[in-house]
Amino acid sequence: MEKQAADPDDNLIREFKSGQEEAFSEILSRYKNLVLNVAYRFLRDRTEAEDVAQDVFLRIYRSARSYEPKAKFSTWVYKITANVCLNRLRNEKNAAKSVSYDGQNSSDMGSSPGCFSPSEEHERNERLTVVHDALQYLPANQRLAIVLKRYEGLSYREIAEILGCSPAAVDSLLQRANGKLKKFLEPYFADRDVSRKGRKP
Amino acid sequence: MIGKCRRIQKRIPALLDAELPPKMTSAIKRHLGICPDCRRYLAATSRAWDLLAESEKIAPRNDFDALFWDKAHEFSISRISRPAGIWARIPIPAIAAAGFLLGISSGFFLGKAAFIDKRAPATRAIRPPINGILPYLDTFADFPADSVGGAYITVAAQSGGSARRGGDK
Repeated sequence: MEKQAADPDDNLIREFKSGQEEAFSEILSRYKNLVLNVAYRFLRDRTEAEDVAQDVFLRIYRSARSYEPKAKFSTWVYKITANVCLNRLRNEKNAAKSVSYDGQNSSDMGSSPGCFSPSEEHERNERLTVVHDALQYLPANQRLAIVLKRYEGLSYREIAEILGCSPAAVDSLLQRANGKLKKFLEPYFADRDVSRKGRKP
Repeated sequence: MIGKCRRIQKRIPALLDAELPPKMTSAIKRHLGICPDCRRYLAATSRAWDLLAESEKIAPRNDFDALFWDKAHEFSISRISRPAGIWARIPIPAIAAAGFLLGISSGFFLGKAAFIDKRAPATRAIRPPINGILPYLDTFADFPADSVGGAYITVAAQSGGSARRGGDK
């Protein structure tokens, strides 16, 4: 009970339940970046991620009135986001669709791509492509676990709650994902090491 | 040593995530102090994670909130216009199944009342005299006398007969 009272979002939900729509505006502004970026890192498509985020908030809005705080509100938000992302991926017919980072989709890239010199920009784009490819290389559940761990910094227990499995299963998912990522990224690092050594006088 | 290294390397991501119990953490750290292979593995893993951390973050579009509220109000309106109470809670497949069963059973009873009763032997015995009707009307001979079809056959037989009589003259 003490844990529930400590969650500041519970007050907002209570206010929303009592009919104050403004409380949901606050929830929206608190969580939209989080939901959008989880979806984006998982799906690697800005438009899809925006759609997913809208869908997630609509689900929260629809079921918030019947929501009973059993865990942290953020865990519930992550859980809905994970489900919507996995459903979206399942329904996606052209899974091989990829986002190019060659300037055409510059809106998909970082917050300020213009602040790099051309060579830095090129190197950065290369790294982003590698990261993108590495994540796409993982199966959906491993990718989701990596996104929640590496980008959201959640604990194994929290990820387990979101994915509906045990912390040991999360540990195993992350072990496999890390092994694959390491394997996938090794040639990239080897190339970079070779080119750095070559550049040295 | 190789088997032990493999076990240690499996635990390295959890070690970096600080998800291991203290005893295991110190045991792995001790091993890392003496094993260059596992140290290399640790370095490669943290290097991969550093690279992953470079992934870009995006910001929602300016009209994100407005778009959401449009959809949310649409939902609220549709919820208000839906019938309230227990009917709103019954799932659509259940309603469809009930409708199907109702259709089947009412069809069965109506068919029995409208078709089978009219073909009762007592009714079937009263048939119009079909002798002298044009031959193609034989196909309609099964119509009961009191039905529209039966009336048509009678009228056709009479007019056919008179026509034939006119032709004979």
